[in-house]
Amino acid sequence: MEKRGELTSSQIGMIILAIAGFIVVLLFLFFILDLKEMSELEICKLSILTRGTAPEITKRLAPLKCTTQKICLTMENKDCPQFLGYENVKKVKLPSGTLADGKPKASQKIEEISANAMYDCWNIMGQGKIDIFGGEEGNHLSDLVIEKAKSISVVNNVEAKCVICSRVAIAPDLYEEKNKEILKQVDVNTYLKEKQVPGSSLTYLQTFTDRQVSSYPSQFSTNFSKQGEGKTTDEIAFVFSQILVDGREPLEQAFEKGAGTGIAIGSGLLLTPLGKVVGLVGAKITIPAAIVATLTSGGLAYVEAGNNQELAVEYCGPFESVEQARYGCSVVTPAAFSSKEDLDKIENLCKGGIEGNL
Amino acid sequence: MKKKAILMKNTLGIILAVGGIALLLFLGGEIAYGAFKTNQEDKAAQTVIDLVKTKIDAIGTDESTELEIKGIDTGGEGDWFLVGWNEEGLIKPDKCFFQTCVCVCKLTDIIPTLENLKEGCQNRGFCRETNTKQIQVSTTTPNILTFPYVGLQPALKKIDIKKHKTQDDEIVVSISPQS
Repeated sequence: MEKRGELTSSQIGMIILAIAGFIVVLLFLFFILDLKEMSELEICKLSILTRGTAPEITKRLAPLKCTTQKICLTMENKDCPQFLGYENVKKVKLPSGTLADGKPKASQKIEEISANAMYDCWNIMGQGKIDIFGGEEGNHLSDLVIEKAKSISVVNNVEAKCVICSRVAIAPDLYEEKNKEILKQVDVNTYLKEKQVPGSSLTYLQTFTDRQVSSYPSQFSTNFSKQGEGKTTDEIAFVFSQILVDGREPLEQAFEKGAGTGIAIGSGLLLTPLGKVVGLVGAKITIPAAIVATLTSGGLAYVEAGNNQELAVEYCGPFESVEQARYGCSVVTPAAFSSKEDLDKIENLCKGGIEGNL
Repeated sequence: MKKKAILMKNTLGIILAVGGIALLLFLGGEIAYGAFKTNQEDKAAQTVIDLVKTKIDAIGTDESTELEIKGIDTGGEGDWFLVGWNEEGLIKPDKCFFQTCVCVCKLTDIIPTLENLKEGCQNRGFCRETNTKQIQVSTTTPNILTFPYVGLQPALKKIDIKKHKTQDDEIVVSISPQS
């Protein structure tokens, strides 16, 4: 006889399964997903994915747990005064000696570190395909609801928002006369063009441009070399910035908005005034920072192929992770990070705010 | 007729219930979101004060360092300030009563005068002892009404931190924003 309210065996089974599932999830959270053991980069990536997959209205509630990576380049295991007092500074002792072509090994190491910093930044931030920042923020839940309603039709009031992925600083020993040649021979752009991303058959440049570009246009190279005598700095920051656009000619809109924010087109080519060329303080030498290839992520591909919208859309187009069609332009830019003026320029680029911990 | 009356009565009840639940959910959401925002601001403030303290501790006497901070976003509801309170000062927050300390404090829509900052630091401020006799904070644009502070509005800024000895062998920390 079955009593009223008695649980059937299938119901009991379901309850047991649910409880077991709950326990498994808890165990996973407490033991396997140990956030303390995760690297800062992994935590950052996880928080970006959480934001990217969160519904639009709750996007701002998911904190962006990204901490700027600090890399100190040194020849003699010295500390970088720029990072005095900071924890988790990655000190890189540059190798001595020269390569077969006479180039200092240390120069190539600097190129490698810069290229990887840029690649990591681009990769962790979702390669421009994730809407990381969402719409505007407010102090009340109602602000979010109103903003959500507004954002359906208007996105033009949104300013670029940024994350400073990493800061690469030069220790004082690299300024010394004997090491002058090391900085002189750093050529990040050539490295990006010629070297492959670790674990991939593609070069950095091909990866950034979705295989569309394997070398720089000659005009571009000429412009770049002209910038060799620029301002100097002892620290470079790799800044990821993202701006929302409404989908029509997204790259051009980004430029329009960027006119006052640091993104501009020079001589028909894409350049950023932020860091046309970044050099080094003290040694009075300039290192060609990877500005060019940075913006190639969307820009060079766009310029190179004329008005090929498809290419631009790859990096300056619809996000993949939102419920409604939204467009954005994302850029990773190396920028000098030494003087107050340098910071002002970054501030100007990131008018919508800078997220993450410096 | 009777059926219609029952239907009307139930419909009205359902509408009221749904409205009530929606209102409760919205108010609950507002409170939770407000707490979340407050928590985010407080975390950012603690990060700033911890960085300042770390830098102060990291430099020796007659040394200086720079610190980059990105300010604290309050969504337009007040501002955060970096201020210093000297051991010998008479007017200061209770939490800095015995020691020289540096604080990051919030003020809402009021001028950062000595009294206001004292209250602000006591009510919503994070302070760290500096283990020095004095601390001097410089304001970029000094005003006769205001107490010296470094504004922490959301923007990238660079501040200089120096440590030196006075003629009486007392250690003084100076904090000044780059302009």
